[in-house]
Amino acid sequence: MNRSLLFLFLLLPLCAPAQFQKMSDAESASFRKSVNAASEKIKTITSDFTQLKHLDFLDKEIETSGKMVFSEPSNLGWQYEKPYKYSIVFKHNKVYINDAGKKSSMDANASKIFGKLNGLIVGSLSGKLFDEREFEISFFKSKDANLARLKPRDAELRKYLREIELYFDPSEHQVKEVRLIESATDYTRIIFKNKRLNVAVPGAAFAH
Amino acid sequence: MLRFPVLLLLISSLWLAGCQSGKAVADRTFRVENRYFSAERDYVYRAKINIGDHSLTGIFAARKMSADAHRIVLTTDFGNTLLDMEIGTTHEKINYLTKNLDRRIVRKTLISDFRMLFAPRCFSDEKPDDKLFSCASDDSQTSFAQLNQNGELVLLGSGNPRKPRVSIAFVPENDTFAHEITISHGNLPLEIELLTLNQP
Repeated sequence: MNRSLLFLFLLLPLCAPAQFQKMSDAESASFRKSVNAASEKIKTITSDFTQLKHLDFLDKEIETSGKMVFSEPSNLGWQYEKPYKYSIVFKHNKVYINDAGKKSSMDANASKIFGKLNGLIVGSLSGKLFDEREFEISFFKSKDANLARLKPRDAELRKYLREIELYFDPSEHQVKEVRLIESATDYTRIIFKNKRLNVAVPGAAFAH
Repeated sequence: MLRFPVLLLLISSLWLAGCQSGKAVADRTFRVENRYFSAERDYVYRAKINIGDHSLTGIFAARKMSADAHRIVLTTDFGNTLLDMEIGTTHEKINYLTKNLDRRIVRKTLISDFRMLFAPRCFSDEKPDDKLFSCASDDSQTSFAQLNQNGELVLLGSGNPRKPRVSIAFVPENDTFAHEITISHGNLPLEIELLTLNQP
């Protein structure tokens, strides 16, 4: 074998990303139970987030960032701060948008996908997304994270999302990263940092 | 019976040909370059699309893929892809178009707009300056253009300059990069605004 090829082969294992192993049935059941128990206690969440859009044909991922706030049962606000100001609030089945001061709203039920998206995000943040009727779910583990892979059963949703990956902090059973996978090459990563649970969230956080 | 329509068709064709060029496009004296999407690099813009009373915001990403092809993706602010297509002078390939946009008129309009946006040059018999001048591209979509006093391209348009069918206004950072682009339509309530997200 050509020497440089051999060298490349030897290097390959070093380049591989963190390896996930499929959980056994017992491990999956235990993990699911822990996540459900942790999510039962969640009333509010505030967090910083970084969103990275990966498009295969671009050199760099498109990065946006801001703050996220969630309050039970399903109030959710995203405030994008960089590189532009934009906020979107899901509240009482309505979607409120503030685009650098220009406000608009729409009925979340008017768009099935928008409603699903809201449910997905709330579910993934609180860990309440493990619904076998909606998704085909499999669980994996690694040294640094546990991973839940969800394949939508709904054909309409599958046109938008091929798979959702939820990465959990193994010690706290909290979602630390969401990957919305659209195709074999393109996906969106949302990474949560400085997450705070059950702190008082003022109503103004969802004001429009 | 058939003579009159045939004659009319012939006259119309000659008149149109005369209006379009008078001579082959590439034989015109002056050549105006559109270099705003000419490098093989990422171009990322914040997109605002106004359709009548409705508006939609998201992210527009484009990249030159070969000598005659650009790839474009439009996503929502959440990152969901709305549109993914490849545009060349004479070809286009739609990789994905979200259900709400998948209408013949929308497809046709977007393809035509982006083809004009990426057209690398147009040719003119008038000396290009900071007033509107006629300028025809290879694909005959562009019919007029305008430069600013620095010689940077600030406008491309199709149809009659007094009542353009489509006009694309550029706010240049320099002659190879526009930090703001607005695509307007004369016959449709559709406007696409692009504002750069690229780091200078």
